[in-house]
Amino acid sequence: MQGLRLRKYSPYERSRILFCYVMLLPIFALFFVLRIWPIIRTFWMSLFDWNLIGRNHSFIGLDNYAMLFQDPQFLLSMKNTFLYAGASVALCFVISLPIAMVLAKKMRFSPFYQAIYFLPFITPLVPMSVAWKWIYDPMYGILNYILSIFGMPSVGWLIYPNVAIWALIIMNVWKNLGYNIVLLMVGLRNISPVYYEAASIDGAYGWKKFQYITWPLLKPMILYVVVTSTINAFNVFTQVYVMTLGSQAAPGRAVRVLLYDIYENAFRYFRLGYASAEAVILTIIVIALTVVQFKYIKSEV
Amino acid sequence: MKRFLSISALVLVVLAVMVFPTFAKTINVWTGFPELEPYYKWAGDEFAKTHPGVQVEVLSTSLREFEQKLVTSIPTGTGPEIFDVGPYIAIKLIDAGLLPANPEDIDSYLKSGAWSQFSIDYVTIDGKTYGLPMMNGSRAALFYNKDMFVEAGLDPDKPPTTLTDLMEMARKLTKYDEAGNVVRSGLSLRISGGGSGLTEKFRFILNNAGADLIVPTANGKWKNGFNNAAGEEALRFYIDALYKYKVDAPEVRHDSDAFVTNVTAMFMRESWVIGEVIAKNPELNYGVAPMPAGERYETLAQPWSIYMSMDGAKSKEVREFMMFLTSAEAAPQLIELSGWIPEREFDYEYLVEETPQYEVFVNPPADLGFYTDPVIPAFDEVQTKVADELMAAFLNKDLVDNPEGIAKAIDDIADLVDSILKRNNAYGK
Repeated sequence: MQGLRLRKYSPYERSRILFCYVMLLPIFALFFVLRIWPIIRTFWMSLFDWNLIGRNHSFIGLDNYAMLFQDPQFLLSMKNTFLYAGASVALCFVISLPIAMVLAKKMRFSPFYQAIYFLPFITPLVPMSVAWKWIYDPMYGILNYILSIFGMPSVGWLIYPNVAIWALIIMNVWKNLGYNIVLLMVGLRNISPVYYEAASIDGAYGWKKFQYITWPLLKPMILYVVVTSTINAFNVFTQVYVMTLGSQAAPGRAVRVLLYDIYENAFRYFRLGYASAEAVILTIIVIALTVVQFKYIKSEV
Repeated sequence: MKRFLSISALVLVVLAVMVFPTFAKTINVWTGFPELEPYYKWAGDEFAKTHPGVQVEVLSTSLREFEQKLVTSIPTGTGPEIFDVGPYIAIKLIDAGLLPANPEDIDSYLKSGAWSQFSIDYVTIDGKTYGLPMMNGSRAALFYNKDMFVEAGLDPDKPPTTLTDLMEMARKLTKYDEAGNVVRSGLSLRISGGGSGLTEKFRFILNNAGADLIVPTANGKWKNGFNNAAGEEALRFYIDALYKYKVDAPEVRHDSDAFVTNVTAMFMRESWVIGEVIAKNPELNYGVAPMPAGERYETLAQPWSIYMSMDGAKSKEVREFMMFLTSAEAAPQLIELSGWIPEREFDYEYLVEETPQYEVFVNPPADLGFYTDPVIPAFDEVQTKVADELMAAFLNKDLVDNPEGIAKAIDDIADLVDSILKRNNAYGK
């Protein structure tokens, strides 16, 4: 079939097409070695009782997967990761959209505000997490100091399990807000003013314009923002790792997320096969969510 | 002629490059204790004086990161020639055949009388010795602030000797704000954070209450050793300290930070805290006492060893540097530069005269017993996962005056321990 198609092209065109494929080959090879092969290898390892420093790796089929769904730590990390990702993405989007709509208008100091909002996004995660650990400190943290000004009692942000995960969510929203704002602003500015003018002539204003013009035309960008934010949120690790280090840190159990659990199983308990099974499940979850988001949002675009 | 000279020069350069590495020997040393870095550097400089051409490179990072870096580099042969690591990691590497047994010269040195039989036995596995015990890794004692004792009407020369005294005195030493919140803890307990350290500190109370985290069984395996009254008493001690007597609170600062900044009156830790006090608050008026007794009168004594890689063990310089690091000559520097106490036999009189707080560590009371971490690969996982469960229990106020709740919590944690042991084929009845 391919041969038949190629016959349509002149020898010169065929050599050009071949040249393109040959030139793309190194990139494909790199992509395969760095992206595809590790995924295949991870799946393969998940079928073994594979110890990181052991010599014997016995094939156990799907036993690692069966064990995972009876492991309370894995189930807890799944629950925490879903809560973290769901709340982070939703809050970040809900807060960033109105800010983006205000900043998208040609107002004074708009670039300045954009820079301010974007700054946390480019701040390295480790020092940022250390700084937030201090912000959340129950005795010396600035957050509790601010609460005390308003007569509110101090909160053990990183101490109590039901609060600790929300402390991480707040930090994530703070970090990613600027990224969402900038992308949504790009989407908003790409909407032609002609639509709004036509709507005004027809007597539409305010909410109606948003409902029938802004929202539908912004959907491709919303899709992009939601998908990338979800993937990033499911990959949360550094904040958790830093915030559970040391005697004054968050309780490991309260903020246990999937990547942290994978890391601990692989590099602390050396259960590489088991950790690989977790990684495969994480991959499936992220792919499934991405497909759902694409289907749900794109179908309405 | 010109051409001949050029070729000769080129040949000389190539030969020099080929031969040079055999002269310039680099010994890489890795540690998970950043406070040991100055000691290793000092030792490297001293060693180079008698071994020209030998260079020591030291890499230090936090303990957990170091352990992970080590276990991924040793199997691939890209690790250091020398490293110090806890027995729970060492046993896994030994188990996998990735660490060499001590060569004859190191083995003879270890058995030369410089170490106690206890230390030698601790590094002996299946009749072979591995590494050299460098320091007393986890010998813990009770640190207490003498000024706070005086302020609370307590005798600064009579620290608590029993767990009951410990709680009583902690109650007198705690300070509260107007709302009743703890602002200075009477006793700082380890109640948060990730990792196995929390369980290790819990064992200070657990063991003296009369229980063990895991105990050996008749068939040479292990099972939980705390699903009993002593285990419940240890958990009750924490719950009472936090909620009934409020001598500590999750919100206040903990550990050595709290001690050196006068935010706690007492806490239990190892000798390195003395170095920390000297560095951060030399004016602090404090004492160090043996661990308060309960049913038992014990403390954790964990030899911490240095090991060689497979390649390192083949090098004479590496073996000699191992011996230098654990020599009597280097011992005073280990204490001075890091605060850790050497594991080898040594005359510590000068040290106690200089810093009396070392007394408990170097001349412990004759009736004080010692316990160690069981040397089995699963122990680290046991400690780490128990820490997570204990943390949840410590935050559960409903356990106050709730014997059934405490028994249930202990029972659940004991089940977890046994399940980990079973999965690792280490469980026995």
